[in-house]
Amino acid sequence: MPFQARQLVAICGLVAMTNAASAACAVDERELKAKLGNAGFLIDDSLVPVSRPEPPKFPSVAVNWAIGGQVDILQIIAPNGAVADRVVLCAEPFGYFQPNALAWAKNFAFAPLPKDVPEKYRVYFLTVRFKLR
Amino acid sequence: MKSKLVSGGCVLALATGIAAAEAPTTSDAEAWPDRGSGWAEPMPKPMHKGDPGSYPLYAQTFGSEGSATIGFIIDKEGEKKAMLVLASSPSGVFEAACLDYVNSFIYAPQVKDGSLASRKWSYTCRFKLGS
Repeated sequence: MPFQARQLVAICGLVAMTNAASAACAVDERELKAKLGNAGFLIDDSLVPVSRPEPPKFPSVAVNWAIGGQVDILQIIAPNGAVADRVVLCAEPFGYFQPNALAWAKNFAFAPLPKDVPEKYRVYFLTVRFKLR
Repeated sequence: MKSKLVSGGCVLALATGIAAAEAPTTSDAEAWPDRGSGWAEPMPKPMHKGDPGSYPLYAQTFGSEGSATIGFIIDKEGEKKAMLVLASSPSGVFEAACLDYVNSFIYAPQVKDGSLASRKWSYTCRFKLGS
């Protein structure tokens, strides 16, 4: 199954949401979810952030080299709704966009787990696209 | 489980069970898109380093050890900019923790040949799980 997470496009400050699947980064989401579920993570496909920070800046190095790119990130969500960890699933091209994408992904906020639900970490898939206009 | 974040060769144990390093790091001129000067020189010691934080949760869950190398420029004012991920193993797992740690570094303005100058550096974070 191709990776079909929420997609975000950062176009030099112009931001738009899209649900288009990534062609460059093909992550088997079903397999990854099964692995995470077996490890004790709570898989909740209805999970959405309650707040997200301002869109990431376009990296100056990438502007200088006139390149765009994409970073697929797995966010680990703590029971209190804070982002506890971020894992880069794919970065194209490697190196340029992870710092800004990961810094952005750090400050998302999610709803806390209900008190009647056993405390578990949840996961959220996020794609950040950087496009030069 | 006792965990360690190490870098270079020097390990400093913290109360949280995490360890961080003071040692100089590797340079990777081939991976840097703008091959300027500064790579062959020892890395300056930051005036301040933040808390390296806890061992990355995903890595701890799956028992992963590895490293990430971050490249950056220290400008004439001592500010870090133009950060890049130069290397990561296993891919993607330790980049966020290393970036957060490197972002906590505060440097003095860099002087070269008697005048302020921008410098390129890299820093490698190594992560090891304790027994």
